[in-house]
Amino acid sequence: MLKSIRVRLTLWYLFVFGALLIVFSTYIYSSVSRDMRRRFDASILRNAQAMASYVTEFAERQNLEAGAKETVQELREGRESAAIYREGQLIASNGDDVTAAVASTRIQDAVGPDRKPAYITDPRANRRLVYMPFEFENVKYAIAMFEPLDKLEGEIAHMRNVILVGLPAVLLLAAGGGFLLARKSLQPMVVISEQAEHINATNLNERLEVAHPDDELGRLAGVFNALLSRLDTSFRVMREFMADASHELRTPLTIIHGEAQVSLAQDRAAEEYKKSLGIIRDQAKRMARIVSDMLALGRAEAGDQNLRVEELYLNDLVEECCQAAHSLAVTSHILLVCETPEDVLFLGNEELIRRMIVNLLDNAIHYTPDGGSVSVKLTGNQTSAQLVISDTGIGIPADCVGRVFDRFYRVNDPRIRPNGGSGLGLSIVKLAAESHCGSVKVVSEPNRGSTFTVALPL
Amino acid sequence: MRLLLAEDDPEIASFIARGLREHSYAVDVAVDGEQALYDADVNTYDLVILDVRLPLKDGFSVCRELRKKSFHAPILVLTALGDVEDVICGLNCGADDYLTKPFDFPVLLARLRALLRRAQQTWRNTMQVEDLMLNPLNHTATRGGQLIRLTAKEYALLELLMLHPGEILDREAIAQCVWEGHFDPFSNVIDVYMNRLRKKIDQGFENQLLHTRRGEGYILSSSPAASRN
Repeated sequence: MLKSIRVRLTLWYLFVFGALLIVFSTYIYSSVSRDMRRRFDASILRNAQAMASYVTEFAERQNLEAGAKETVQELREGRESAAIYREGQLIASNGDDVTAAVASTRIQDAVGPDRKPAYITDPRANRRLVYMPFEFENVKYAIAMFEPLDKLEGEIAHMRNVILVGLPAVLLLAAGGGFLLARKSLQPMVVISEQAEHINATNLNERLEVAHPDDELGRLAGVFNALLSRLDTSFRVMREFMADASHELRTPLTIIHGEAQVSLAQDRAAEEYKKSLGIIRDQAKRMARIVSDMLALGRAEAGDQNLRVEELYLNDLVEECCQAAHSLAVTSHILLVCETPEDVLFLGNEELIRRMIVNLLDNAIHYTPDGGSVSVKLTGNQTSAQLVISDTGIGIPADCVGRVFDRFYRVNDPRIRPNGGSGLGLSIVKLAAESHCGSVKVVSEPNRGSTFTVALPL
Repeated sequence: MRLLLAEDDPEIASFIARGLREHSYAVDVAVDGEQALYDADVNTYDLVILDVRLPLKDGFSVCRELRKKSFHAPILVLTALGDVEDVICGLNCGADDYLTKPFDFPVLLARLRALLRRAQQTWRNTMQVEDLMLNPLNHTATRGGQLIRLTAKEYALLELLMLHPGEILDREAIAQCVWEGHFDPFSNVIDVYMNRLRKKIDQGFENQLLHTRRGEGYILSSSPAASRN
């Protein structure tokens, strides 16, 4: 459940919104209740002031003490309690509860030298007591009054209840809204993942639908589609390679299988068996060559990280390969000329580079008729090395030059003797050069010869 | 039976041709699509075996062109291309059968026999004229229950005669069907083979089956006069 982004988003939304709401409600509650208490105090004070002015008005006509007594007596009928003090001594009151409250709360001590009104809450009777000093004809008087807090507390409690009930309700609504919002904004993702789920190796040509290509999700879908395209291409290349490879392997397999079956179908002379076994041996070699070339190609293609790189002298390697090819050239009456400078230090995979040189040399000698020549020339400077192998062979037709590096591609020419090659030789050359950040080029003219140039950065 | 084998790989062509010849088929090999079309035009074949990846013209195109020219003999496509699409394409191009490489040689032989049987509209595996029976499976003949051993060429000759009982077959037709490539029309090799065959099937039997028609050819029939009509 928590794994779903939608739920997590909703919870986060709820958490943030809830925290904000709690802070806000607490602030509202405390400020409103403080305000209400202050106004409550003000209203008691106003009553006290009204009473004070009433008492002083009375005092102008007769003595104050009598006026005070009359006033509090009137208040008693109005169900309000009050007491009047002169110099701290009670002169009038309309009930014991006021005087008892004044005594028990020691409110008179709370009045400072500036003689400002003092307020105190009597917790025992839950009421608010005010003690308001005033002066009349230089005599210090004070009025004490109280008001029950029930009504105020009731209003504050009501407000608290509204908040306590409203807050979860609002949070619940917010959660619902957040969930819907998250769902709405995540819906395109769900659609994308559902579409992507249906794409596998067999339908890589399908693409995701992009409704709004410019928004964030549209860009994501676009990136995904581009990835699919690349995947599709590499899958297709791989499938083609597999088809070609299986076809190439099937031919020698057919010959081995068929030759053996036909030979074994009846008794034969030893010579015939020898001939058949010779054919079978040659085809087995051809298969082994194809398999090892495919492996080399696969290994080189697997990437640079698997390629063991070491320092080697390119000139020594070229000369070694030329010496190895010398006997083959001599039997075909081909002049093999090898020209190398001193000390061309190169950082690369020896096996792959050797294979590249050997393949180029084998090809040059194989496609050059008797009496021709093959020249190998290595040049090097500070930044790069160049290996040029040219022959005076049959050349490559112009329309085939572009394809000779393709896997399993063979030029269709009846003059070509089958050499038992795998059709992968030049693909390996190209891959070997490219995996060392180099390149290979070919220039060819039919019946005049071909020149392969490998450039390798040092 | 004379077959055309279109196959560019010399080693594959070599063992198929050898195996087929040892089973009494006359085999011509074409190394590319154009040659296959030319050979099919010039000679008469009972069946064509076609590779697909042929130089100059691929097997499927050859197949289509042969059918367009109302070439009616069975065509068997023999190729390394084994995808369903390839098989469908091959059969839709007019081929009668499709076999993928690598293949079992006995299976190829069995399919060829099946195709030829269908082409000749026979459903039985043995052929019979009077009391002479011929079994293409093991290349043996029996007459009156007596086993007759035949060489490959003798079998091919007898098969041809038994496929056309009561019909006069001239030397040219016999050479076309039993011998491959260019047959020397002045050679008497057919007469030599016919005499050996007659010895094997007619010696010791009252009812002579194989007759020579001077200046015309040969006929396999219980009464030589009957075929005159």
